[in-house]
Amino acid sequence: MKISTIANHKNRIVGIIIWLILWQAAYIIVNKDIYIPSPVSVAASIGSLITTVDFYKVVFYTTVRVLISFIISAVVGVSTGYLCGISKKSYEIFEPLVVFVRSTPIISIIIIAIIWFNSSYVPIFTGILMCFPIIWSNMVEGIRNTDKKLLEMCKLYNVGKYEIFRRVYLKSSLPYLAAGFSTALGIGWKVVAAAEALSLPKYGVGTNLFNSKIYLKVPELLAWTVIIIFLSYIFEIFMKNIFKRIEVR
Amino acid sequence: MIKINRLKKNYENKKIFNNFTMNIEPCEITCILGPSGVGKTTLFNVISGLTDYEEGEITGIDKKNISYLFQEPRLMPWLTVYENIDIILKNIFGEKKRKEVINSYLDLVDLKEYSDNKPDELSGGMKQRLAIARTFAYPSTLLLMDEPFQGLDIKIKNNLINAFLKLWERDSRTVLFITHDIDEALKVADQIYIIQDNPVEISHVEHIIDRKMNRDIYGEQYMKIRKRLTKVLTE
Repeated sequence: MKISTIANHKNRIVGIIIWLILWQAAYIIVNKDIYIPSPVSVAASIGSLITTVDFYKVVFYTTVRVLISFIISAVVGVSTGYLCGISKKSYEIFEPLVVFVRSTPIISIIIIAIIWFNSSYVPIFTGILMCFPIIWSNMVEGIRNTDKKLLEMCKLYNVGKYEIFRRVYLKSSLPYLAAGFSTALGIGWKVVAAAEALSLPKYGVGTNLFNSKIYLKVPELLAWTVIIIFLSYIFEIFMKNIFKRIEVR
Repeated sequence: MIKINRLKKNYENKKIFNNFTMNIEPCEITCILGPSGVGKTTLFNVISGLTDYEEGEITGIDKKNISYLFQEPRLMPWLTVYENIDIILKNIFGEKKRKEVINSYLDLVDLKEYSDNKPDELSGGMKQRLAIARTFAYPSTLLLMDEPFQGLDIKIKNNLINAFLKLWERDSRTVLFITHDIDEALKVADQIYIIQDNPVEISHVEHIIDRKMNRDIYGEQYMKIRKRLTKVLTE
């Protein structure tokens, strides 16, 4: 088991090295930092960014926006998803709204949000509208796939509604929720950064991406991109660990 | 006494029960024998309130006081052995009493040392034993048992029947027991009803008065009963 884990890591490391070599080769061939900066200059850019105080403020504000939009989506998505999973009537009321939100181009949502809200809230609003439908759909699916025989057994033994929610519905929906939360969180980072790049709040990774583009600081632009990917990855691992612990319980 | 009077129940335009009447003696084990698909499980679902019926009357039952041992154990895989019983008793007893009740029933079915295990860690027979313990732990006056021992090998089946009889002798509740295994019925029943046909009718009733734990079901008296039952079922 241990040997295979090491082998897996080895493969991953080799993969990363290969892609870095190809990136360096592309940089040498194109030979223009403005189109493709070298991995070394991007790494140097990350190094210089993380030594500034503003970097931490930027990361902090973006992370807070992602988390607020994710938590609101999770609370609303799980509660309304549960309701819609057990009641066809509720599902038919909610479904058109969810389909509408899901089909609306993200750029329309961001522009409308810019008209409605202060620039700091635009990424949160956009994040909610993008994450909520994913969590809602997965919750509905999880509730609908709950073992009917277990529910019948609970009904027969007069198990309380809260216990049925907590011990049967929620537990059955856990794999669906884990997938939904993971996808929603990943999308949350992308959407919040995109909304920041258009609404330009004072501190935000998206704002810095936009500024890098304006001043043609391509290594910095890629450095912020790498930082977003890294943050998204860390949060996904964190989320997976939480679900693992819940499942064990 | 539980009385089912002129019950009418259709399923997909098919009359399952049409003016079906049956009396169930309290504190006894009544076995219902019959071919597959005749409507035995439907009868249980009607009695327990899991299914509606068109007409008729069922008296002598408090719907909140029924335990149901299903064909499959219906255990929650994410709960421990202890928690699987605990969840159905939460609305009934306080924590201390629950602990006492659950431990005593787990002890009777020899599962106390597995309290913290999950159902996936138990064998098929152990899971069914847990389901039996859950059925008895619920303070019901009527127990419905729907082919609880089918598909198990003979040794496990005998152990489970003994565990069941041990639990039943403790508090003599009214039990309705569905089976299509004559031997099983001979081992546990006070009365055996054979139901057949469409719509369902009672075609034979048998009374057995021996104490259950001492029955020699291959003795002369039981061979005669077995013959009678086999004759009715194969006619």
